[in-house]
Formats: sequence, structure tokens, C-alpha cells
Amino acid sequence: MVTLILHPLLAPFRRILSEATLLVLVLCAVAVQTRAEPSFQAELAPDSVGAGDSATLRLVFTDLGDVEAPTLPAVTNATIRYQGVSQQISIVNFSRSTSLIHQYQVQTQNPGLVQIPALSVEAGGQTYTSAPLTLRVGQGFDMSRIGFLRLMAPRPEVYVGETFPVEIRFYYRETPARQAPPSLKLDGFIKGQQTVENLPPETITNLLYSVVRWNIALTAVKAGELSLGPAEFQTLYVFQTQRRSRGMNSLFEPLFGGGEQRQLNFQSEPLTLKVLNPPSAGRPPQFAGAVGQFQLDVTASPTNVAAGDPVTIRVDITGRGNFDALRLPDLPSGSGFQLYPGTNSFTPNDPLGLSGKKTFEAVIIPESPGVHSLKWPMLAYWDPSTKAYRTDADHPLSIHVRPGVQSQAQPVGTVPGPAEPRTPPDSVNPQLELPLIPDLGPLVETSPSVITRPWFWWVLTFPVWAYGLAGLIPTWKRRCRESRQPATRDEAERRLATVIRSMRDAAGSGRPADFFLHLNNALQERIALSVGRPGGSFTVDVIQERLIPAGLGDEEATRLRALLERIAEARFSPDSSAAELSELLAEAEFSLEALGCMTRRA
Amino acid sequence: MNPLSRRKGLRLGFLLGLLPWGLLGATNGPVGISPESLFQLGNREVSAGNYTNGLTAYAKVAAVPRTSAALEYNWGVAWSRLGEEGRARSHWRLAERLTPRNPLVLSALRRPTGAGTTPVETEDLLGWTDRLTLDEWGILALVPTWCWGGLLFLRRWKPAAAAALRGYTLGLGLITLVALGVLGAALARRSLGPDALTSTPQTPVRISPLAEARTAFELPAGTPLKTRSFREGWYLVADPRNERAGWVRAHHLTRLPLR
Repeated sequence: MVTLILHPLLAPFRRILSEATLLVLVLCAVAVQTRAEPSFQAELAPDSVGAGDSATLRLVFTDLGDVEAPTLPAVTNATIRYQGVSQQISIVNFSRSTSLIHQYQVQTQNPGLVQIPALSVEAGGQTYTSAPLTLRVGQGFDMSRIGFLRLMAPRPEVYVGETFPVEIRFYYRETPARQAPPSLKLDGFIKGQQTVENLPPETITNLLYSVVRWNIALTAVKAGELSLGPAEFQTLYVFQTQRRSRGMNSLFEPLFGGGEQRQLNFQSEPLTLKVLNPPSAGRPPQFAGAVGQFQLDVTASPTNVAAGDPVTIRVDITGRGNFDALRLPDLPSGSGFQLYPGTNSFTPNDPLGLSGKKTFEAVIIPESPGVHSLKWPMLAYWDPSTKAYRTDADHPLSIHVRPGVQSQAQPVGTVPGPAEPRTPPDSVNPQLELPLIPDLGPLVETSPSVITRPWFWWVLTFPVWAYGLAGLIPTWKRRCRESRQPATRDEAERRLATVIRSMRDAAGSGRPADFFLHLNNALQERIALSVGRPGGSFTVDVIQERLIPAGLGDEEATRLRALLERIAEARFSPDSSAAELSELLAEAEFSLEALGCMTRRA
Repeated sequence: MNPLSRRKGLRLGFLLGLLPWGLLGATNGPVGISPESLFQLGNREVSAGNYTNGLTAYAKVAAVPRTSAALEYNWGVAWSRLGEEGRARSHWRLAERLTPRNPLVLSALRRPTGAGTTPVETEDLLGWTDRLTLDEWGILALVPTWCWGGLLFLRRWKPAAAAALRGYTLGLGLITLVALGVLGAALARRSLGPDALTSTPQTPVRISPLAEARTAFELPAGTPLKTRSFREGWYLVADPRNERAGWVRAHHLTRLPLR
């Protein structure tokens, strides 16, 4: 409007427009001051929910001033809770109204209807009445579509004092957003350690379920038909709603977890376990309630002591069962020892602590000298797998007790404190008085000697093992060379065969230069193999120096010498006829064969 | 330049150079008093008959925590003059481990004491190995071993001289073996023998590592013991003379270093 008034084309009408605008604003203000009729109405949203879900009831008081929240009558199949009050101002067709809204939550229970009767309120001397409302309650949310909970015990019959594992398995098709650890209703059982792990998915009734399992160690403490469970598992799910939100809300939904949140409490079926007392018939006198399978191992140290000296007894009990019920039994009367219980510890072998090792350490003190045979302790337990009592005892301990010196017992609990200097005695023999050393000398750490360090022994014995290594190096080098030689020889033989083929081709095709080149290479390679040295440039001298001593015959030597001299001449006059080449080829093959035979003989 | 002022300048520079070291040293010991001063203070107090003050001064020197043979010996002398022969012997034994041939320490250990106040110590077959420290035995074994190794290498390097060196090689090899054997014996004697001494008179040996446990027997101060295990401030010890075993609090014992 202001822009319109300030437009240059409308300058002549600017005054008229300004006055008209002012008039419109005044009329609007007057119109807005007009109030609507007071009213009271009840609203229910939504009007249809599932069992267990909730709806919202709003009592709207329009232009009735401050009205207290009315007390609603009790309704069947639902509980109503007051949630709060809010105020709303609206302007419709120049009519301004102020609404006070009291909000309630209607929590439904079972499928059916929830009838909310007409509500009457007094305000401003008048009575206002709302219309009755009906909320339809459907079947509700089907939790089995999401998942279910199972409680399992290894067997239906256990014994008092027996520790056994139970499993709670949660099969689910959708992962909860949040969850609390499952709870288990216990009566007559004591809960022990608990573990949780994911199991491979399982297919049940053609549906694939993910599975998570909790293992719980339980110990039965009373006999009878005891109910175990149900197990409960509280979860919070967030379901994406079908309705697409519009505007700004859709932008923030991903940030604030848009969707419907629903708390789902899964519950398993309870179990009934028959808990039995171990039978009294055949019960050993040492039985103290231990149930399981155990093995006993007893050691004593030292076994040769003076009377009155302590002997440390170590009792290791390994196996599976209720280790909490294991106690170190008293010594039998008249055993000749006094028992002083010490410490005990338990090392579990599995996370639930169903199996492991319990160790008792105690001290026994022999009262009299002699050789004492002590068969103690004896462990008696009920084995639920064989349904029988068992007793286990290690071999008797044999302790040799010498006559001891009488020691003056110190009252229990008194510990001498730090050194308290006493007053000097009156009689100090001056002749035996020791002089003081005047110089402090170097201060040293009272650390162990260097010979206790490993490096000292390495340094000390260095010459010995270095000498040994030095003796081993030639042997090692020779073995390396020997292991490498066959490969080198095979490679040389292959190279030689290739050269001989090329030599024959050159002789057949009448190429004397190539023939002499390949012939020289073949002879050098063969001689190198014969003398056992890498290929080089052997001359005629090698025949006299190496080959004849190695077993080359005189005739072969003569022909080989002639061949090598011919190769030397060919450097200056390589031209040869085909017949000469053929003759030289035969000579070459003879010499190569002779050298080969010599090598094989060697 | 005047030689006198030059000498003063040098001395000042030397002192300034020592300042950082002095500051570093001050963080390890009692602030402001050097171990040497404390030691001398202890000596003066003991000489004056104030044994308690002397003991306090010696304890402050050892708080570094380092010690010396002289400190342990004088500490033992102070205890001895107080009549605590057992405690004195535990310090002298420690001094003996540090300087096994010190005549003062040896005479102190051989000094006759009142019957019953200290344990009777007997000399065993390998007692002579205590005349040297393990470090010294180690050097005595190291030298012939290296010489013998050198001879062996020389014979390999110069085969022609092998015959001439044969006698030396055999002789030195024999000496090496003996030296290694003595080193092993000295190490075994110290490792397997007593490694602790009771440091308090009437040290209680209890049947389990608990203050409430019954006292099995008591030992006089200075009794050599063999420790077997340690648990939360308690040592399981055995008396090598009669194999009696029990638990002793750590502060009742003086551990002998393996030296």
C-alpha cells in the first residue's frame, strides 16, 4: 500500500489514497474488536485407534474467560489423564476470539467403543454443554509382526543348589531404536552372570527373524513346582508414518527422527520347573549342598616341618556346577593338625561361571612330631547328570613332622611397628667398639649384578659362538654352491644343445662364419662343463692342463686340438666349402661327445 | 691480568657451571643438605653418643634411594652401639654385598655377640665365593673367555701357528671353564641362598599374610632368610637352617641385592 501511494504516476491522487488507507485501517481495527459468541465444545482426535493406543481429547472454551479444567467422569475401556492447558487467539471474518483449551489423553484398553458423555460447565452464569463423543477402538497394533520373546531352560527338572543356564531369545524382524535389558521374574531362583550374543537368523513360518540371545545363570534355592518368568523385554520402535509432512516439518524430520514412536513390551511365556531336593538316602556325611561335577586336587608345602610350623595346603576344585556352595570342610577331629582357613578364589572357564576352578589356600599346623598321613579334604557332591552322590578325595598327604622348638605365641592382631630406637645399653665393651668410616664413598643403587642381565651372557659367550659360526660358514657356503650347481649345469646343457643345433643349421646351409662361431661356443661350453668352471675363453692349453689329467684320451685330445686350431685359423679365413664344413661338423660332434663322456665319467 | 683475580674468575665460572647439576641433585635428596653432609652429621652424632640422631641422619642419606658400603657399615655400627646386634648385622651384610673384602665390614661380621641375640651363621663349602662380588666374578670369567676365543680365531686365521698355540689354547680353555664354573657357583650360591635378613628384633613369622594371623614363630634380627613369594606387602620366607616357613611383613626384612 505504501509503495502504491509513493508511485510517481499517482502523485496527484496521493492525498486521496492516504486518507482511504487510513479509513480502511480504522475499519479493520473496529471490526477486529468485535467478539464472537462464547461457546464450549469437546473434540476427540483421532476418533479411531487400535487397542492400547491413545487419543487426544480437547475441551475448548471460547470467550469464556479462565475456566478450570473440569473433572471428567470415569469411562469404560479407557483411562483419561489430564495433560495441560493452552490458549489460542483467532480472528475470523473480523471476529476475534480467545479460546482456552484443556487437553486430555485417552488411553484405550480393549477393542470396542469408548463413550465420552456430554460434559457441562458453568461459566458466566450460564451452563454450556458439549456433545457426547465416541472413540472406536480396533484390534490395535500386532506385535507379532515385529518380533516375539522366548524363554528356554535346558531341562524341566533341576535340583536345589544346582546352577544351570536359561536362555531368553528375542526373534525380531525390525530392529528397535532403543531397548532395555530383559527382565526375568524369579521366585525360588538366584540370578548369576548374564551374557548376550547375536545368533544367526532363523526362518520361522516362512519368515526370516534375526535372533539375539541372553544367557543367564540361575541357581535353584528351594524345592517345588516353581514358575520361572515370564521374561519381559522393553523396546522403543520408531515407525515411519504414511502421511507425508509438508512444509518446514519435512525438512526437520530426518534431523529429529520423524516418525511414530511406539513403546513395545515383549513378554515370553513363563516356564514351570520342577525343583527337587537331592535325596536323603545315600547322602554322605560330608555333603554340604554342592551340586555338579567336580574333581579335587590337594597339594601341601612344605611336607617336612617342625612341630608347630605352618604347612600351606592348596585345594584346587575344577569342574562344573555351583562353585558358590563349595566350602572347605573342617579337619576331622584327632587329625593331629590345627586348621587356619586362608583365602579362596574362583577362576571361571566360561562367561557364566558355570565351570572353572576354585582354589582354597589354608594353613595347617602339626601338633606333634611324626609322620602324619592326612586324608583331607573329602568333597561330597550330588551329580545331577547321573543322579547319584559322589565323593572325591585326593591321595593322602604325607607330612613329616620333626620335633620343633617352642615358640612364644604373640597375641593375635599385634604387629610390630617401625623400628623404634632403644636407649643404649649400659655395658658396651669398648674393646670391641667398631670405628666409623669417615668417607661416604660412591652411592650406588642396590640393583642386581650385571651378570643377571641376559646381555652379559651374550657378551661373555660371544667368542665361543662366533668361533662356532665361523667354522660353520665354509660348510654353509659349500652346501649353497652344491645346491646351486645342478641348476647351473642343467642350464648350460640346454644352452649347449641350442648352440649345437645352430651349428648344424649353419653347416647345412653353408654359412661358414656362423658355423665357426657356433662351433667355438659349443666347445667352450662343453669344456667349461668338463672342467667344472664357468664358461670362459679356453685355449688349446686347457687340453694339456685340465682335460688330459681329467681323463681325456690321446686320440680325442689330438682331434680336439686340431679342431681348436682350425677355429683359430677361421678367424682370419672363415671361407670353407660345404664338404669341409660337413667334415668339420663330424669332427666337432666327435669331440663334443668325447668331452661329454669324460664329464659323465667324472 | 692479575693471577689472583684470574683464579677467582675461574672458580666462579666453575661454580656457575656446577649450578644446574646442583639444582638437579637437589630434587633427589633432602633440600639443601647433600648426602655427604648428612653422612658426616650422622658420624658426628654417633661419635658423640647420640645414636638415635645418627640413625636418623643415615636414614636420610639412604632415602635417595642409593647407598654405599660406608653408609651401611656406619649404620650398623650405630645400631650395634644401641645394642641392636641383629639390626646391625643386617646392615653389615648389605655392606658386605657391596664391598666383600672391606676389613672393617668383615671384622664387624665376625665380631662376637651375645648368645641368643643373633643367629649363628655357619660357613659352607662355597662361602669363599663371597670374597668377590658377582660383577667381579663376571669380569674374571669374561677375560679368559675372550682370550680363549681370540686364540681359537688365531689358530683358524694362521693354521701354521696352530701347533705352537696348542698348549696355550688348552690351558686357557681350562682356565675359562674353571672361571665359568666359579661364576656359576657364585651365582647359584647367591640365588639359591638367603636373600633377605630380618631387620627387627623378634620378627613375627605368621601362618598367613594377614595381620590377624597367628604367629608361628619369631626370629631375631639379622636372621638370613630365603624369600619364596610376595603378596601385598608380605613375603613368604623360609629359614634355610630348619626349613621353617611363614609370612613376614616387608618392612621387617632387608633384601640383599643379588650382587
